[in-house]
Amino acid sequence: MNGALFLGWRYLAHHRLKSSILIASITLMIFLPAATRLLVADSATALTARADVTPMILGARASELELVLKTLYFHAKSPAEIDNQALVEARSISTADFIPIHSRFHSQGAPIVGTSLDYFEFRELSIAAGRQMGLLGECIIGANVAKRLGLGPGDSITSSPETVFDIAGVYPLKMTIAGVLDSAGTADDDAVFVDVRTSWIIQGLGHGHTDIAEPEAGAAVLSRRENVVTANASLTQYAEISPENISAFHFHGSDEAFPLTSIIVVPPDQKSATLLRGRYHDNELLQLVLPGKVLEGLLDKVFAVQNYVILGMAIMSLATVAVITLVFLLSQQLRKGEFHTLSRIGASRGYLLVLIASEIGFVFVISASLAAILTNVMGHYAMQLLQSLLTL
Amino acid sequence: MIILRALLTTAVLLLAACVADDRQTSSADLSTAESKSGLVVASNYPLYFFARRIAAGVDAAPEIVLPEFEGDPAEWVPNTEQIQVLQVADVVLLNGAGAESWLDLITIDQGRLLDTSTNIADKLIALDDSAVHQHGPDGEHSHQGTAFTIWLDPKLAIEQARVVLNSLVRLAPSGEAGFRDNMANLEQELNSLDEQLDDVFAKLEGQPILFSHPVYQYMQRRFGVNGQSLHWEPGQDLSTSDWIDMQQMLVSHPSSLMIWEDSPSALTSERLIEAGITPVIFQTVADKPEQGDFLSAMQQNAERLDSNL
Repeated sequence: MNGALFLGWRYLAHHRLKSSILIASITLMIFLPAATRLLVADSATALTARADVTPMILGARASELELVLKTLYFHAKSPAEIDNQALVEARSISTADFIPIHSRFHSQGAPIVGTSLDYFEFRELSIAAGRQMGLLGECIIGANVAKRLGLGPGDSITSSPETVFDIAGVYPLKMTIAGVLDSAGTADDDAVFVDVRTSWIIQGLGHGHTDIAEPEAGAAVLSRRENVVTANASLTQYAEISPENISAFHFHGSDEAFPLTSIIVVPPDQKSATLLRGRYHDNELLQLVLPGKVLEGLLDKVFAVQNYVILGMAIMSLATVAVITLVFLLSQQLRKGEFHTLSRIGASRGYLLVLIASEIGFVFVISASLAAILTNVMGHYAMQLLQSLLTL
Repeated sequence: MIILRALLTTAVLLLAACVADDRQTSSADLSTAESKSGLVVASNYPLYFFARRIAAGVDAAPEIVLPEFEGDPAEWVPNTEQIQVLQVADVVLLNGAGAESWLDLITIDQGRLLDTSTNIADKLIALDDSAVHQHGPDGEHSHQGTAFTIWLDPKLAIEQARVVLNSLVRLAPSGEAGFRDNMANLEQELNSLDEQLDDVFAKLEGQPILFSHPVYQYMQRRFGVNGQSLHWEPGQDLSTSDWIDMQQMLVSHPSSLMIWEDSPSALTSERLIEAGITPVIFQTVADKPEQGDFLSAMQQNAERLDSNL
């Protein structure tokens, strides 16, 4: 029987093209569903990892999914905003850490995330170059932003207007890059981080201009009466915050009315978490969500889609198997003369069966081995592949 | 984090050491102190003084730092290095009452901030005459401020010191006994200062006086001083309209004494004396005095005023 195996192997080796195509087809047939499951599982793990380490999110009572995706990944459609008063009140009633998030604006494709210093500690983000932001108008950029735009500490980045048609709307603000973050393999790599008040300045809730109480204000003054000086629309506002003009920046109105996208809530213990959930359970304006649970619902749908995809692949596999079977049968038909010759020189029926089976067997064994190797490699490098294609 | 904090603190201290005088001795001493539990940054000199006094001689006391102010402390904006120290501090002692306008201009963890005027919020003085601006007739407008030289009222200064005490106890519970003993001494010293100032101002017997700048509201209220303020600066060359403003004020408020934060120019002094007004320096001690400390500077203020009455 060794002779049959040898002949089977030599047959495959001689017909390299045909054998390669068969092996490739069967390898793909086995590998694709496995790789799909692997990628989906790893994606789900990465997706939920960021959600699982985010205990709770406080936001407007509206779409939970939009709130979670916008807070965690900054790219979703902006949910309804809440007032900063919610943050002030929350801090007064609980010892949990409350981290503001204001993510409405963009700069050259990167979301601008207004937050506090606590965010960096919470996400365990470290500075790779430069330093932490200090003054208003400074920003910290993610590793991918720095790489994509070729920027570093000391460079500048400007916020994008919300719409090019609203020239009287939000003024672009030129921000100085104080530092660049280490690569984290998360959505933080693609974001520009500013102090939440800088994002309010971008929104126009704060600004800087020459002191109109001074006589030099000149034509920018509409009227002066007693202690009130009224400026007119010609007053030019600074488009950049610098150490020279920063003292001129100020906000109008109470900052409790200023907007936030959401608040990340980090309770110190389970009791605090439970108390907070109870407090916001019946709140008409605010909701406190558990990101992990919200994404579980989303992932259930993703897994359902995955199953349909794998079912489709299985049906395709059946077709592939049918074609491969046809190839083998046709091959046997074409080799009838060869088998007759073998039979005439003394090969038994069993010998011929082993010969044919060995060819099929070798193809499947090699294919299965290749598929296993590819799946294993995919398992090792799936996360890097996902991170290079997506940011989770 | 601890190493970063020590490096940044050392950087601040080194910057402060560039001016080699006695004022920096206290900061330099801190860097050589033994065990320190935490870092406390004071936003003005009086708070720094209170914290240092309360922490004096207590081994477990945290490191207490006062930033180097460039120019007028009321208009100070921290530089990059100072911001980094503020960001790593365990506690940043704030005067409150709007004194720290730079808070709106920097990024800092709100949890580290301790407003020492929170407990006396009902005693803060709103400013009625600060200029505000608005954008358009119906546009947004700025709000009037609050007087912030709280420490010039020794009784309120004691309340601020109590808040400082509590923060030190929270940071270094093992030093509580020492902190409280020191606080008792400080309270006694501030009460003595209060009595001294009370005696001095009592000699005015309601006599109207002028203040060169509106920074003495709390002292004025505490000691019942009949005073009105101009908006003059010590180094400022006064214009004709400034003198006219003073003359108009003298019509309803005839004064023979004007209290200044610092020495007026020679020309201004001369003209004031010609007008029958004696300029007297009463430092607000918002920043470290050239010599001595907060208490000695305030005592000198009292003595200086007393000698001119």
